[in-house]
Amino acid sequence: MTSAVIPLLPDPIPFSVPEDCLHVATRSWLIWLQGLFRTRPSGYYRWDPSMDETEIIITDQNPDKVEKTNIRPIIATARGAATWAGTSMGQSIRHNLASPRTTYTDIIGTSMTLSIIAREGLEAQNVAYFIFRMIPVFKSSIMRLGKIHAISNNITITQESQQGALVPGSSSPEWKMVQVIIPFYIQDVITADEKDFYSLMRAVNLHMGLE
Amino acid sequence: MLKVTNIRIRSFDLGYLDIYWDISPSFEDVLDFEFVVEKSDNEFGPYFDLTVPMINQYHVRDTTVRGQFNYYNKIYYRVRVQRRGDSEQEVWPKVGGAHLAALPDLAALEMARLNNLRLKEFSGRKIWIFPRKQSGQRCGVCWDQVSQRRTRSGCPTCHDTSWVGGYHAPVQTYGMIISPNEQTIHANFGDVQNENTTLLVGNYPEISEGDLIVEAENIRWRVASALSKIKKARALVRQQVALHRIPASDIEYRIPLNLAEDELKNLIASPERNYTNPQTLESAKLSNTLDNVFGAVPVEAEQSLL
Repeated sequence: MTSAVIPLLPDPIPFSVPEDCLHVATRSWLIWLQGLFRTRPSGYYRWDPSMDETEIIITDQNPDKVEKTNIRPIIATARGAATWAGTSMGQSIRHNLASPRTTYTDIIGTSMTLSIIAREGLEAQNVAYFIFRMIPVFKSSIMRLGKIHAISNNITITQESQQGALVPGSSSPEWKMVQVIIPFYIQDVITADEKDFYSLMRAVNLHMGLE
Repeated sequence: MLKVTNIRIRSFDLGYLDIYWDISPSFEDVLDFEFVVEKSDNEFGPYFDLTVPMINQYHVRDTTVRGQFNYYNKIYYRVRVQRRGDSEQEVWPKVGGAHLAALPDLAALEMARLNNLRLKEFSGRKIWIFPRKQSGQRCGVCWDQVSQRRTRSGCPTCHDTSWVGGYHAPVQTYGMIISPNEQTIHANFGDVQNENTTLLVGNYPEISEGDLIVEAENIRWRVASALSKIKKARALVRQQVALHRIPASDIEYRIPLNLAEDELKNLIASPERNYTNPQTLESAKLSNTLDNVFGAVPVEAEQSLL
């Protein structure tokens, strides 16, 4: 699994910064959604990588200058706030009191909000419910792809947005949104055994004027 | 053939509408003719027979009225005259229908005429108005009768109106669409291009919320919720309505506007006079535009004047 995130500058020290787990998870949700809708028959919101062929748009939030605008339905992912859960003392595990070897680990609690936008409210709900229903079916696959520790069972489908709330001006609903909110958890781990980890720690501490 | 005049719709009761009409003085035997009152929810039809053929009757009470609780619904009537035992028939009024509304007085008529002239010959452009259906057969493809909602979009049967067909036949008129600001909403789910503006139009046809407006450049607009109808003594003089531009991926863009080939090829949406210098008297185009303003004189009549 490779992340699409490429550091702006090459890391000057051998210890590589851990990959962005949140982005990896977001991409796994998107890849799953695109796969889910790619297998739909034509005329039933079939997703296609080509913007000219696709019947549904599936992107992360704020897609950058998509060639075509004003097309619906849309599924847009948006990650919610991520919080360390504090599931261990000091967020670390000391393997041996005599040894400095430490594993830094904790669970990150976050959520993914899938915004489904369609012209009709019931249409948006229909797509949202399909996703909602399919999450338990594909839970283990999404977890494996996104390196996700757990996907909560408390998945929520919101009510429809108000008419005119998204795009004002029309006398018919035109843009309606239903959201699916999925809480999930990621475990992030850094083990002090990794190469040059201590060099990094020392360099930073020295910069801070600490021993 | 009898000529029906002065069709009036009157009522002080929400449960019915009275339709009255007169006939022009005639030497025909009125007993040779039958009257049939036709009714429609749209000025341009389709009309269906409200009554059986009647002889020598000039008043009908329609107790089947619906939509009278809606401020803006209108019910149109016209009277068909048919000769008994013959296929000869005529419909009155010849264009549109009569509805419960005030008659425009002379001042209102003149105000409307001047405004229409200004739109046709100076500031307006050719537009086509598709009146949205408000009744009829519900769409069996996308309409859920239990929840009373449409379940999907892009429906080719009703064009996302829930009524089969979606829109009545278009009416060509002249209107001025104020150029809107180009606006892109950078929403969380992507960029949305959104345009809202105002249409200035004369007193005919009367516009309703949800009607579809098509410009000569195939820009399509939906009439929004705010309609300003300027009236004189309750008679319509001109209209100013809010418009919302329809996303080009929507089904409304698949509604055909069937112009004849010549009409399409030679389409000039703006008044022709605006493209011609008035001092070029030899210009054939100018003569055309003068005809448009003052009325064309038939060739035979022109020759007889010489």
